[in-house]
Amino acid sequence: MRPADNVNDSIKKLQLKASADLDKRVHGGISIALAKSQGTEPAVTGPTILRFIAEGSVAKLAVAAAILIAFGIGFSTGRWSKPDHLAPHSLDVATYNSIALEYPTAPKAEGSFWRQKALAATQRRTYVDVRFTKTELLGTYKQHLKEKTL
Amino acid sequence: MMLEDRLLVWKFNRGDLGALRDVYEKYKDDLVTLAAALLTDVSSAEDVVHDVFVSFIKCSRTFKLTGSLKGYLVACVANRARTKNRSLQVRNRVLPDRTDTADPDSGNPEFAAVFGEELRQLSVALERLPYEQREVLILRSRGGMKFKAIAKQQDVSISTVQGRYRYALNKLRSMLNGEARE
Repeated sequence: MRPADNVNDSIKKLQLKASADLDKRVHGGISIALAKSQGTEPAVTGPTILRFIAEGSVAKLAVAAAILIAFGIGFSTGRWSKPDHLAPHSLDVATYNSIALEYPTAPKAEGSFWRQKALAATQRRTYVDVRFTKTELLGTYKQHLKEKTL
Repeated sequence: MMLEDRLLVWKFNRGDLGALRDVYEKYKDDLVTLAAALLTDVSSAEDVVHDVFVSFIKCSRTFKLTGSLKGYLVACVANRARTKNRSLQVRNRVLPDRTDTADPDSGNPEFAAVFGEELRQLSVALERLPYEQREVLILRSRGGMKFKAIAKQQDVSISTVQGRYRYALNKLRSMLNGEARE
């Protein structure tokens, strides 16, 4: 390949090494400056290492990525996890019965809707949320009445 | 690499001149090559690099890096080389004996020899280019600078810089092809 075929590549190939004389001169200059500064310089007031890390774009990206990952994990955990469901047989029947004694009009039948609701009200909030949310209460009652008529 | 440079500059700002030694060791060969290609003279190139680092020491507390460290150093070397070139031209005008004795076609034989036989033709051809064109070509191809940055450095428009680059490439090609035919 002639040099004219790719001048740019040829220019990139140009490479010199700094001479030992230049090394000596530059290092000598640095040493002199260092010797001068050691006696006269005040305490360093530049940015701290934490500030340096915080200013770095890589550090910013890492922090942003960590926040996103934490948010993602939190979201997916909250989205897919389900509250503990209490089995119907674990309802606190004894408590209901003791309350029902004080209120003679309280429904006594086992399958009574209001009995179930009252039993649910004595349970932990999670169960109540699952079984009788405000929007579903009417529908559940209608379903109960339908089943009763059948 | 960028992070490493930023860390070096951070240390340098805090008065650690050892960081400056590391910067010098990291970029010295590239900077000397760049200056030598610009000035077509190795000893002047070394003077330029030395001056750049000496002035760099003085601004250790105030220096603030906005782009890449290499880009900054390349720009410094280009500025110093331009000044040096002007002073050399003035000296050549005042002392014309230097140029009269030299063969204008062979250029600086020492400079032609330093890059080795393979690149001898190229270094001779580079020497024959006008300084502005050579500067654009070297800063673009060797220093990796953008046309916009070179235009800012030379204080001319981008189209002028692109024109200089094109002219320089064409001249180099024709010179190298001419020598190859001979």
